[in-house]
Amino acid sequence: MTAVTETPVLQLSALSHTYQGRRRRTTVLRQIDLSFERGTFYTILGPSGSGKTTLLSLASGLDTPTGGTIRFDGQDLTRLGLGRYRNKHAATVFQQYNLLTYMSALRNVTTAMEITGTKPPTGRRRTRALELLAQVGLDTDMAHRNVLRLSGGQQQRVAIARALACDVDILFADEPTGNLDEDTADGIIDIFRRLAHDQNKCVIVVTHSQTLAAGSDRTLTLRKGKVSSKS
Amino acid sequence: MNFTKRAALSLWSRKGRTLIMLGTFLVISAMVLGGVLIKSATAQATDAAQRELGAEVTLAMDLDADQGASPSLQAPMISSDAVDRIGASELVEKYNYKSFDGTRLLGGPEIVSDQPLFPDAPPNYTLALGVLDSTLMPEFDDGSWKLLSGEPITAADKGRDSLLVEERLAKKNNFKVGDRITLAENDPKGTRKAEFTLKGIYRDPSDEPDPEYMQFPGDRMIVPADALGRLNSGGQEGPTQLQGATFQLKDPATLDAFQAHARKAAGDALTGFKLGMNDKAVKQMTGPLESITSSATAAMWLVGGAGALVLGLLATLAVKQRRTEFGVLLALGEKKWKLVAQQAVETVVIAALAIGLSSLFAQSLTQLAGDTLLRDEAAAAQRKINAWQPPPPGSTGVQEGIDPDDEPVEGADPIDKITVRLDPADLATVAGIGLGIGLLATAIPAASALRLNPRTILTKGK
Repeated sequence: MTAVTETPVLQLSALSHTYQGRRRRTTVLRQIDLSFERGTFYTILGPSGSGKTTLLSLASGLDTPTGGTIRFDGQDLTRLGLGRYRNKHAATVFQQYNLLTYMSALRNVTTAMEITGTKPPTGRRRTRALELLAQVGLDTDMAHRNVLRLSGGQQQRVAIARALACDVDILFADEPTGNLDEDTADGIIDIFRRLAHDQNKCVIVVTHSQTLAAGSDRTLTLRKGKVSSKS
Repeated sequence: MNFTKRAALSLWSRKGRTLIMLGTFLVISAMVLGGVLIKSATAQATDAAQRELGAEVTLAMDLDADQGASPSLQAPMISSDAVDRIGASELVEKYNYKSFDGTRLLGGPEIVSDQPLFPDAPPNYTLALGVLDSTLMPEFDDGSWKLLSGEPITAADKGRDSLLVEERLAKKNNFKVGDRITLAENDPKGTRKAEFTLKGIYRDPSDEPDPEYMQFPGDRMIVPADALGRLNSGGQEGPTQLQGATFQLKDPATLDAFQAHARKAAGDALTGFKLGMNDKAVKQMTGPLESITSSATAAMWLVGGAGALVLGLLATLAVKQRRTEFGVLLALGEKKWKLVAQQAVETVVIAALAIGLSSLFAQSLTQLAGDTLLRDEAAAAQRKINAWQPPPPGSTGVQEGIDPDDEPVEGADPIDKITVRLDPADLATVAGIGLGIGLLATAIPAASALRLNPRTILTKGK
């Protein structure tokens, strides 16, 4: 997000987004220029309605901007293909978990690995999935439960494990610790930090949490669709 | 294929929805299968009836033919050569000539009836029927006429002056098989005559003049058509001229092909004639079948259509409920076609299960329903047959409102039983219809959901 000296993993240029309502158009993001680098844990802060979630949706390839460009490793996302980008390079942890409710926690994670074609360096997908679930505090018993039989916080951890399971370049998360207790939230922050620093991933988290922001490498704040501060 | 695994998990986890879909599909497939089975069983029964009665095609004068501005008063004739060419088809089992002409008994023998065939008829004038094979005449075929002694006239009698006479004529004149009887030509002024060898004596139990020729049956003679033709040819050479012919087909289903062959083989010789299946008996037997077939078909389409509508609504609801799931999978980068394929696999599994289940009981259920429906229809048809009364003697029936053509055919009772059999082709038909309905009901809502991007799907309504 600072002046770019090396090739950024993700680059937003003059990014704008406008929602067309039935009666009026609402511009949510205005001419945003940002660069994100590998090996860095970013947090995006801002009041409700500032455009944080929209920025995350566009950057993660869930939606197409109405203006500007998004480049991954220098390549325009529209040329790369949003589906391919989401499948191979970006994973998202949603605020509403968005788990597959007819599956167990374990199956949610292995399904994501199957869809993205992620093969663990050692062992089977199932073993790797159990490891990741254990990392976020879910034991084997919980891993085999249908996700609807887990609490909100536990479901959020499954969603995080699912995103971690996909060996992607950028991890996006929308309020990932909102439903977690303080200890688990600290654990998740630690996972994000290690993911960035040890595995050279780019982690971008949208949050209201100052604690989470304090644990990140860099923070930017959005107000009324514009970047108001960077640190 | 991870989408098949997901489909299996989805079906297993959402048991309630799976059971509702299965139940709906089961009703649809059972009804459609029932309808298909009844149609198939009635078609087989109709085919069997046609085989039982024989597929007889009659070549006769076409009363509806347009004769143009100057209609001929002369009935059309067809040569035996043309009939032979038609009969040579491999579709034909056997065939017979049909001709008739007047003749006179000479040398002493007398006819039985004391009523002349027409007011100025010469003495001992009667009618002879010309055939190729007397055993193929419907009356001999159905047993109403019986050969008492001697042998029938067959194709081997072609070129010979052979003769069959009725029992009463034989008795009156003390005829015996092997006797030689002199017959004269039709024209009372003509001098042509021939000596016929009595080949057989037959019995016609009727005392009433036959409706076609108004001849007393005891005076009827049967001769080879070519012999009758020679007697009445006026000395002209050439092939025998016939009033018509009958052809017994090997397979009733080949009527169209046979007609095409006849047109090609006989060409212009067929002018003024028509070839038609003599299917009055078949219609009498299969009338109840047609009735239940149309009922079954209507029920099949009605329930099938209503079921498809319900299924479509269920699929639409299911797809709407799965928008989030689609969104999540798309967010993970899953291909859209795999999502539709997953939905399709779920539908196919349910459809296959329902069709498999329905095949277990559809046969017995359809047999029960078919027999019940058919019993009522057959009983009603039989009552109608039993209630038919012929016109009073001397009446055409017009004044009484009786059409003699409506006279029931003997020995052709309405079919009151069908045998329902489930064969792979029927099952394949139902499977095709079921899968088509299911996939269509799934594809339309699924395709509409997939037009959206994952963010819209995931944030809709939030």
